[in-house]
Amino acid sequence: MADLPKHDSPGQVLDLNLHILDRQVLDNHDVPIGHVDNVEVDGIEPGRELDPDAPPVVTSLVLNSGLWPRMFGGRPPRSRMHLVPWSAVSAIGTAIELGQPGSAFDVTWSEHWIRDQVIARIPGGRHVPE
Amino acid sequence: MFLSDVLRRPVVGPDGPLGFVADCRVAVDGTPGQLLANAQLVGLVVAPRNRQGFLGYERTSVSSPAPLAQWYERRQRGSFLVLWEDIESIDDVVRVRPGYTRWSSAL
Repeated sequence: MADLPKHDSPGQVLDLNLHILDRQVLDNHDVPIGHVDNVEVDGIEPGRELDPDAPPVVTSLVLNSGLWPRMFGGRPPRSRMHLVPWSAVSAIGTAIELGQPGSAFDVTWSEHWIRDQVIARIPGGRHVPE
Repeated sequence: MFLSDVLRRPVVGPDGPLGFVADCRVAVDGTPGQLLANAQLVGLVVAPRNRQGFLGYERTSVSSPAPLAQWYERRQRGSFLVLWEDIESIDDVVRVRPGYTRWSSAL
């Protein structure tokens, strides 16, 4: 590794497998909403010769869709994936921070359902604890 | 295409097999977005053996604990970066153009 030339890229350099996959995702209130299971990249067409002047761009992070495929293989259809657009990402560090509240993404639908259908029916469950 | 479609794919050069895709390197320096700039693919990190890396020991300057660092660096020795312009096609295998350059995979 030491005898090869080092390529310097402008901006923040990230290795997707190392810095993005399996990282926790926080919304703009630092509330965890999931973890990254996959990354969608636009600009690669399998089998076609690639354009050297048009590098692919990361379009979305795929959240919380990895458990069943890891156990049984395959992949859920794209419509069933929880996609967070790259444009919503505000910072990348030990966790990935988003610039929007978690309620803006479908990934938290199960929490909303539990809140509305279960917690809200418990006496005192409709207001903040005093 | 998803990242999982590219990782661990075999990489073939003009003279034969080179290894397997260990990672995809991007640079957050593209068109400025609402919060972060676009992340453009810089290239693919190729490892000669299809082994999973661990915490990027082979790509960073982290050297402790020394036994672990040496072990994982040795497992991934020989890995290198191939830039996007040197990649010809991505299908079941990743094909690299003739005359490609091997760059250090260090971050």
